[in-house]
Amino acid sequence: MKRDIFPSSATVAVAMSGGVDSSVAAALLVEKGHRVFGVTMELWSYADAPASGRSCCSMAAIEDARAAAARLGIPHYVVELEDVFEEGVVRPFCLEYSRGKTPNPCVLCNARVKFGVLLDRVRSLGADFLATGHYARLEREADGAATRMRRGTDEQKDQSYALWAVTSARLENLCFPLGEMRKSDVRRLASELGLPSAEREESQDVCFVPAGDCGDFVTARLSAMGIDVRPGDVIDVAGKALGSHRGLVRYTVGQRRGLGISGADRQYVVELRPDTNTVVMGEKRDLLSREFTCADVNWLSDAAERLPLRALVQVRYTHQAAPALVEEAAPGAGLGPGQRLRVTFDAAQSAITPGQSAVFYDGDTVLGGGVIESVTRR
Amino acid sequence: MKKVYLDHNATTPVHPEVVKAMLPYFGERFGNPSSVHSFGQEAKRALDEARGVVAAAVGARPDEVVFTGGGTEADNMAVTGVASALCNKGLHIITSQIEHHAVLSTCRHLAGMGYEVTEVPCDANGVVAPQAVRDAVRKDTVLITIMHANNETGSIQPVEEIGRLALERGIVFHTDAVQTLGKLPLDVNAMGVNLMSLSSHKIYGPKGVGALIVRRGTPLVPVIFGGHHERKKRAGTENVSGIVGFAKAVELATRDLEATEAHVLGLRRKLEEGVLSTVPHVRLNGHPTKRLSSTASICFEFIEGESLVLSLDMEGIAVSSGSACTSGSSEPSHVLLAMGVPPATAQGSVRFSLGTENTESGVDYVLEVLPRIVERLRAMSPLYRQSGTCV
Repeated sequence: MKRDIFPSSATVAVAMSGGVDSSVAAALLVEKGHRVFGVTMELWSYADAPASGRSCCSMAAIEDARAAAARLGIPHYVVELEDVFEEGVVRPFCLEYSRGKTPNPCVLCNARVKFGVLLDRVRSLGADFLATGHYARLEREADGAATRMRRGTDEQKDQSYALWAVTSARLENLCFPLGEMRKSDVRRLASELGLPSAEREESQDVCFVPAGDCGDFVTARLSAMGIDVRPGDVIDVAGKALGSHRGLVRYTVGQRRGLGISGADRQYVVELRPDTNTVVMGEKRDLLSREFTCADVNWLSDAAERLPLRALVQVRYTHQAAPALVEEAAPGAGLGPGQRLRVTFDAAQSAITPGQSAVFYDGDTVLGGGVIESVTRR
Repeated sequence: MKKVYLDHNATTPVHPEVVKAMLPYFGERFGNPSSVHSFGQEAKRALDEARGVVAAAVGARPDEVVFTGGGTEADNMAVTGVASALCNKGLHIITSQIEHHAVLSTCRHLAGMGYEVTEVPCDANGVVAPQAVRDAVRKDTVLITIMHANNETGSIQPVEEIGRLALERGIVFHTDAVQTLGKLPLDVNAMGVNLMSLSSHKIYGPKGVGALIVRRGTPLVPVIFGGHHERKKRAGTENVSGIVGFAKAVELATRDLEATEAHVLGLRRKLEEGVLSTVPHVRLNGHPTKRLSSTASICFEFIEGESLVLSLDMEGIAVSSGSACTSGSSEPSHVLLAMGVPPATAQGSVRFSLGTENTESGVDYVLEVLPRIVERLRAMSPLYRQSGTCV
């Protein structure tokens, strides 16, 4: 097995968030003797930044990253990418919600911003690689080319699910120093190294949305784009009216709380229908389905040439990947941006959600992925 | 790693003699100048002395020096103070498109409150034409504010002519001389200014201190209230140590002005000639001759100035893209745009600003490193490839 190794003469830029992971990633690279510099993305005009101060690119993060870089004795630069982030992540995020989907903004940010524009920028500054604190592994050939991506060794922390959309040509310039580490070891190292972030909490929220206000945020942004979020009907799977909702953007498949429907204790959102602006409720078993299609496909392997193929498919960050058949939705359409795939699980899975990513694995190797488009209900 | 600091228009190292002059005022001479006792009197004397030094350096009277918390505060005070004092006379202010944001943003703030602001343009050399100012004058014009030399390009503005026309028309004239103190001889009488902003940290003094020269009889409402300090023009206990340091810096800079100018001009010429002869597709910004000796603003086509700044930093060379205050922003410089530089070219601007401690060998080092970096950045630039200029 080929490990993620490259010569110590390489210059490595580390995307630093001030958190424990990226700080330790930087420390490990410094220890290996690389020429290392830190970069932090500035994605907001901080005058109107979201209140949550814990996200990876907040003002506090920039300060923490600067402190960590100083501790490690490496240069640190702030790279302003507000426009790219707005166009490439925030806007599509809001538009997806308006279409009744539940997007993965981290997937977009990784593909378009971090391993897109930021990678270009650090390469122009002389870096051979861009490293991050992601828990994922890369395998490199001796000549540095043809890299495979695998899940991180610490399966509790594995982040390969958020990395499938990075284009394969980019992989050879990436580096994930924590891929073979466990989170507990990373924390221990951080505190041994006296890194300021050793005790920082981890963020779970969408970094640009003020805590708990995703619906309000998306509604306001869409309104600014001239798209009204309107109340609509809530029905059950049989079509019976149950009440009304405050706008599709406030719901996601599998959601149980905050539905505002009386007697809905055992009711879940099972489908969002943007064409009729309707929320469909059902019981837990109504969330089950075996089949879906996906689009925006990206391959990190040659698996596309082997379609139809058997793979483990993960449909949510917290989903346990399950065996499935992956095939072309319209046979003969071929590779390319228009490619659509049909995925059929061996056993029904719960709450497959349009807008989320479907990532295909062979064991722990990432084959590729796509964005879930439509789910076939029973 | 060799370190070469070429960002003196952003700030300068504090001169050891300045540090020495300041130190007693952190320790045994800690008094508040407003106190009546001996401690206060000692501080007050230091303040008086400093005021005298700063006044003398610019041809003003000591009672015309109002110490501030820096150049930006002085600009704010001048623009807002005069506009407020004369709001019953008129609401029109004339400034230029190339002012520092300390002036521009203040004017724009006032514009949002009902004042009218005319931002006159500059020519391709970054110089404001007196005629443009004259044409902008209206019956209700109460203030003209035009900087003495631009912080990004170093282009020197015709303030004497503008001062004459302001006097003719009875309009208050303010100039921001933050970049020219210690670099050009300053004389408020010859320049015909009513107000002049000065800063300490651009001339090897401490940060956070500066002055607004307010000629006698100039209408000015304070912007900071709360005491009788600075002849009721700027409340707040004076930054005595800072002011003492500022005065020392003024004294040294004024004394050594000619020698410093000759030194930095020699180095700048070497730098400019070196860059022009080794790097293709560059553009020198600003006036060819009427320009601060310290400043070289250069556009490197097909690349982003910010990338060049970071790359040079990794080699120990400190420069900036645009002014320090807008650095880090991907917006092209408002000054270069006003000069008619195309936005894509303006993105590639880098400012080298030299100072007393720079040496020939430092410039040699820059000339050794810079062409290599520019070449590397261009090799990665899609703009460069599309232009067909690469071989």
